[in-house]
Amino acid sequence: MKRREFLKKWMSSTLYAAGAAALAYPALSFMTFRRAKTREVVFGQNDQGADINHKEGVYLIGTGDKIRALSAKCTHLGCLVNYNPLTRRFECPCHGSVYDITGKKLKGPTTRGLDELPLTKNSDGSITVKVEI
Amino acid sequence: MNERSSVVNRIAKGAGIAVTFSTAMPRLGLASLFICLLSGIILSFYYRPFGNVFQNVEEITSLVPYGWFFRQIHYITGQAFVFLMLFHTVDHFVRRRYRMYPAGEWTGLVTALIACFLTLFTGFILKGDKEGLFAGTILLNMLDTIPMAGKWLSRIFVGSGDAFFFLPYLHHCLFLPVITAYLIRGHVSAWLPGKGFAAVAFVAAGTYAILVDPFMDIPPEAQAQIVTGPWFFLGIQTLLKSWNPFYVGILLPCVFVVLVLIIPAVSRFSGRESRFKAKSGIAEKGLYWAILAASGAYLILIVKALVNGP
Ligand code: FES
Repeated sequence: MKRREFLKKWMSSTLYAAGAAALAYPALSFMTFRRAKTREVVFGQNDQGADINHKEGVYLIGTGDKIRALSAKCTHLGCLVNYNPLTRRFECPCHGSVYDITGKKLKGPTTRGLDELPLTKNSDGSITVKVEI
Repeated sequence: MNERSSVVNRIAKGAGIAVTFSTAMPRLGLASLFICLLSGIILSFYYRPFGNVFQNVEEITSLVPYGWFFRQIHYITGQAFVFLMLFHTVDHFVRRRYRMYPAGEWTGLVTALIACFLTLFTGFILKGDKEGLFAGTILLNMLDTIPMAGKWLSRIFVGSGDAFFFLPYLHHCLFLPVITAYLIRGHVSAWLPGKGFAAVAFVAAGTYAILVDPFMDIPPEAQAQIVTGPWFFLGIQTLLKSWNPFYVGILLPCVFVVLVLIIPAVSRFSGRESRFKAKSGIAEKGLYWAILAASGAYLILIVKALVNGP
């Protein structure tokens, strides 16, 4: 192949690739856009009876000033963990990660503990927890 | 196209018990696929990928007239199609028939098989129960681990919040079947099932649907000690217990697929008179046995997980 022909071919391929990328980028940006959303989980007074309460993917732990909210989402690959009242641990049914009552990782493939979630105490005694979707 | 059909015809015209088995498999598989598509179309009249998907599926199973029948038929024919296609591929592979395929056609067929598995996986998600929900979440988070492109890729496959099931639904009902049909369009012309195969497939699937109850779906809010994925994912689920999700869920399967894809090209070198002939002959043998060993090891993992849990 002559040098000139080679250059011509190379330039046209580059132009095609650049054109494809110019189309693909906005298309992919559109297809993968997600608006940041949060949902609220409200624990009414009736939902706060035990020292571990669960509602819609959130664990409310402790009472009074020491109350904390933990996400039930396993930090390995996102399954929801179960609370085992016998061992007082959180156990993931997917690949066996185990967390203690404070959410600290005890064993399994996960690399960190459960995420703590921000909570607000309301004047009527209920507690609102914000969860990112 | 001529070269393509001649490859298939040469195979289809074989004689003897083993070849009869080889030629019956793809025909039964295609018959299953047609029944699966038909039952899928019927199910789509009630199935909704929004809101309480679990309740929607339960209604299909227990409230809608003959819903249980179409759900079971759809399930078993989908499984049968992928199973038979897998056997068909293994059968070709073990007999080293990949040597007869042009690299492009081989790549298309392997990609079609991957698309079939993805269709099964998205179907598993669409059950909307705890297993489906977790399978979708795991897929999303596993794709997320891919450096740079992870966020984009995961968002292409799985939605979030209320729209969680919509993207798997779109892939299951539209993109993946269209991709599969496009990729196998030339290949299947020699395997089209006659009335006999269609009747056998329908009677077998119908009998299954009538005799076997649907699996128990776990409500999303129920607690379950162990949650398992679809059968072909069980090996990966076991490995995920101790290995990094990116290596196990993305890198290893990709390396395996690349090995399967390049083997016809390597074999072509070993078949030619060239100074690379001897070396590529050894490379082909090595690849062949590596692929078989990896598949065998994975099969053992699946069986182990089916018996003892992942
Ligand atoms: S998702 Fe919990 S251990 Fe994997």
